[in-house]
Amino acid sequence: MTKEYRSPYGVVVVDDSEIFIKGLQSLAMNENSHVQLLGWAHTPDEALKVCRRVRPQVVVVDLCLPPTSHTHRNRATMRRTAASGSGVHPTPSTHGKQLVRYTSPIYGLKLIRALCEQFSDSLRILATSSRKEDALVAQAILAGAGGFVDRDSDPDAFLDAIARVAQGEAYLDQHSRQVAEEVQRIRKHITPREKEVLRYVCMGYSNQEIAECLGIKVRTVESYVRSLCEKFGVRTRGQVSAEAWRLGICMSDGNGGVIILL
Amino acid sequence: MNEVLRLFVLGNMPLMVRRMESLFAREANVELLGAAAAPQEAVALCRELRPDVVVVCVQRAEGFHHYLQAVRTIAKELNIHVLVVGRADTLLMVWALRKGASGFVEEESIKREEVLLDAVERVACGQLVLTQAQLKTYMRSYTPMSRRERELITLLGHRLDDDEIAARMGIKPASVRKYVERLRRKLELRNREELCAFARDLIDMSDT
Repeated sequence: MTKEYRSPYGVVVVDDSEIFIKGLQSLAMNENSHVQLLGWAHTPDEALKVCRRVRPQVVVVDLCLPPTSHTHRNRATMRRTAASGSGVHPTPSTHGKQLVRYTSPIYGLKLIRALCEQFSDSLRILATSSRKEDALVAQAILAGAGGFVDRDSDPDAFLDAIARVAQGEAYLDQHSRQVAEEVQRIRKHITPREKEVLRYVCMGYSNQEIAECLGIKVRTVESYVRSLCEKFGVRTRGQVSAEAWRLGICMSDGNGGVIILL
Repeated sequence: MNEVLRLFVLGNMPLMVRRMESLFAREANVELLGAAAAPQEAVALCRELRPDVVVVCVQRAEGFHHYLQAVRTIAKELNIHVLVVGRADTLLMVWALRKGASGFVEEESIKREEVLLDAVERVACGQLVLTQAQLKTYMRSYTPMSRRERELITLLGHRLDDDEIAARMGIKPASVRKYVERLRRKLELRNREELCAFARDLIDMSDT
């Protein structure tokens, strides 16, 4: 382990869990800690504001974040989005209104991309999540994170990950890197139009339905689907969909929608 | 790590290999199973001894692709973690990873022994050992390019200017700038300087 840490790294943590942030805060306050918690945020928008203000060296981003800010929803919406199984939990708010949050890794990934764009090389990003799928790790890396650490790691491992990423090391496991390669290959070969068709295929639409949605002929859709099969290295559209979901190319946005991350 | 790490060293950098032999011999939690200079012999030994990690020190000299072949066999057939050590060399790094290596460390960076030991331990745990910059470059190497783009990249890599490139490709200098911009965007590089640096690295690749 690179046990020699130089001066403390300025860190911002983005997580919708207050308990997690408080936990990191108390770790950071230990004597020998090399982490200085400069700020925190619960949503992507807050995160960008905080980072602009405090200029951290490392941003720890929990992937499952809410879209922009907590939104108020009525009961009917709660029931609908809960049924889609996308991680919706009603939480009692201090104002007595029903506060409903839905979260999705899509927003964490979007934040990572935004941080890379706005801050380029002046900060490093460590992604984290309690979900551990290789595909998620791969997407985080491809979005620009320097590494991924399991949120449920022990404190020392978590702090070690922060230090390594701060020092410019990549932090990820070999399996995830293989998934990232598979995604990258597909990403570099697929056309924008094929991406549109892919989204409908992943939602289970038939060729006829896709043709109607895009305003093109069924034959054209068929040729796009054939091309997708080739690029994914599979035989059927069902397999294309399965691969896209497996590789994290296709994700649920937490609100019943499907997004293609390529 | 509580268990002893079983290690094998292979390479065409004799001084480095010898240095590693003495380093690993001193380490309590590392058991050096052997060291070899010949790739095929090393592969056979690894098949028999089944080390946890194989460290391959390779430099671009004649016959070095045999070492990369050995990396492939050890990593993909025998499913043993491979750490490649070499000079600061983009081509070598990309190739090593493509062949299945779990990490690449530059010779410079392991002047401090704990860095090498750390890398070996992490590779044994299934972690990837690379810098973020190397990982980015590696992911970028998956960009497919058309014949024309390859032509452009080659000419950029040989440090020709727009007019010379235009003459070679049979297009106008203004068109060259458009091609360059398109290619830069495709490779997700920030400016022309980065594109030229990348082009020069690629020239190295095709020379071997």
